[in-house]
Amino acid sequence: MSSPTFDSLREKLLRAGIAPRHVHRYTRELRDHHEDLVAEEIQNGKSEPEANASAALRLGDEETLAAELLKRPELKSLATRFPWLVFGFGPVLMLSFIVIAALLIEGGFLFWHKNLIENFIGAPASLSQIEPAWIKSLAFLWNGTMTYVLPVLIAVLIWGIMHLTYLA
Amino acid sequence: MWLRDGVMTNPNFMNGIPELVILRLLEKREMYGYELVQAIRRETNNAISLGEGVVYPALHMLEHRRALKARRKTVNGRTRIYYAVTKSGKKRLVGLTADWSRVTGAVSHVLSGDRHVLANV
Repeated sequence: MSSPTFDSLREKLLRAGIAPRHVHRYTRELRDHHEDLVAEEIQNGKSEPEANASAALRLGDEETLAAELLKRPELKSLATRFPWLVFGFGPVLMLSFIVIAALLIEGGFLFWHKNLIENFIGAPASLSQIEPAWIKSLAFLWNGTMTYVLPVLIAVLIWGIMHLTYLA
Repeated sequence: MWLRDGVMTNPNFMNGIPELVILRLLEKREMYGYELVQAIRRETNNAISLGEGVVYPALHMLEHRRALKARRKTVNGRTRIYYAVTKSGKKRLVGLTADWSRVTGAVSHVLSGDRHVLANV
């Protein structure tokens, strides 16, 4: 029994901005439904090609199936419904969060390092003792990574998870 | 509710019929799409005929509005997505049923010759 894959319907819906989870589930449900209809038609005495044709007719044509989902704007993805939120506010919020988190981690490390040195020498540490050249280089590397590399890595990670979860 | 200054104010009425039928049938027991379409055909004596695939957007919409909840369930080796009515869906069903009864009652009165009944709707 061959089932339609609904690939072109899937692509049409995704391009129109329907949320991937709805598109993925919809095409899966249609495929299952088609299989059930074919089984029913064969049980009623039709040959497999006849059953396939009849099942496709009963399920509805691609235009109708697409239109039914497209007329429900609530099922569109967050990025389609609120692009300013996802593509405007989202990156700013993410970057702010990363910078604040990076500074807190950096500050915490320097505080811990200062305490470590003072406990070791038993007196208040000077700035050059707290921040030697290697610490400055490390901080420079850390800040650069957090500002320029991590946001890109997070974006790639989010896209990868979305792809594996909804589109695979 | 229905008529304001002689203008029909509930254009979603026809759209509400599938919602009402789906909620009513799923209230009895959880079903997957194919099962539900068969139930619609059986319970309405084939009076409601639809492209069977269009039931899914209605199910997704009702789930989005939290009137239904969906879950995957494996039966006889096949994994299906079953839909069941939520507490909020049951409330929605009560409201839709009341609206439907009021409207069909009013239309029945009109058809039976009582022309003044809409004034009371």
